[in-house]
Amino acid sequence: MKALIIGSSFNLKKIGESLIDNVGDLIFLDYEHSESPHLNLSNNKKVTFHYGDIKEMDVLIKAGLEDSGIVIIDTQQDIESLFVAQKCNINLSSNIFILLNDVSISNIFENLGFIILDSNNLKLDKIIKYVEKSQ
Amino acid sequence: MKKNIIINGINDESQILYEELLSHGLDDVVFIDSDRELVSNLNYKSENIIAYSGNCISTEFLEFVGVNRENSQTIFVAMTDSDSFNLISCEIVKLKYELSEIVSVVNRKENLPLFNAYGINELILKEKSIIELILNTAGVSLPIRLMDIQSKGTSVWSIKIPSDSSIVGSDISKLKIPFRAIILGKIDNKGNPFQSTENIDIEEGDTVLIISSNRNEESMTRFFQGKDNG
Repeated sequence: MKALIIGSSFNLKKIGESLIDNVGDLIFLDYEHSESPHLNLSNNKKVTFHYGDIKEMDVLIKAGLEDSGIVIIDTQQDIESLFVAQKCNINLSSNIFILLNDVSISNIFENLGFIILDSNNLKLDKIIKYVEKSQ
Repeated sequence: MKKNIIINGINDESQILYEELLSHGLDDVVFIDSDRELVSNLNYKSENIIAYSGNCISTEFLEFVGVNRENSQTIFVAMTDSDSFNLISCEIVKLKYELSEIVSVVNRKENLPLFNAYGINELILKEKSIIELILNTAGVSLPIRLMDIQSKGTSVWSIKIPSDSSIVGSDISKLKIPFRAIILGKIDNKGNPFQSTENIDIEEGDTVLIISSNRNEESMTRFFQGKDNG
């Protein structure tokens, strides 16, 4: 399975490291090249990096949105993460995880089918269980 | 019932809207914006405090500015220059507070189906009117999105066939389109509809009706307007 990770927060680095053994490909997408958060993964053959305006559909598609089984988003700005998630949802039926700083609005977006994680208290079990189940 | 209006975004357009609302007797209006300077400048110019600085997706802030005011019908207008701010704030007031009177500016055409897909239907496309007006004046007919197939990123389109299109004279039932699409039929100059299964030629000025992904908009324009696609 392909996993598309949008953003380059420390939390995404942690998520990437926990998923690497369970996915076929791990794609990181962000606005610009930012090596340090992914340092431990950058030499791994499963990992690729894409850069561009993450709010553009063309950029999302070029990064592999259409055949990604799981998408995880943390742009560190809740509005932007939610917006990108909804763009991804137009072309995708698989699960989209969003990391939010303010989880008081979680239920609104969970009702739209997204899976919300608290970026201040990140628990990886939901993502890992989903990936294991999909294998 | 009384009406209170919340305008998300302080800019020239939203201030013109404010003046218009006042001139129509709608004076219960507040602006919200995350930019403190814009908020204080606007308040400085006004007799009363009419603008508040805060996070437009914070439910606490939205309630503070009156999104769920009792005995009042709240109208929410999203007019920021960012489609992400507009969409997400509209969704929150629609889904959490069940507002039905929501209007949003859409800054980029690419994002229009996104707003439609999530049920924000009163939309003003910022770039559309100017660009389409100029292109149409220059003789280019752009595909017009008639209806969105919700949540699919696909729409029903109409496209007018210009005189120099190379598909003029081609049989509609035999058209080979180089992208995934369903041709429903055509409407001729006199308004007569024809199904795509009928062996009838496409003529200058016909309007072709088609279902295709929103991503194919440019391909559609090239194919139906092109001089060497027949």
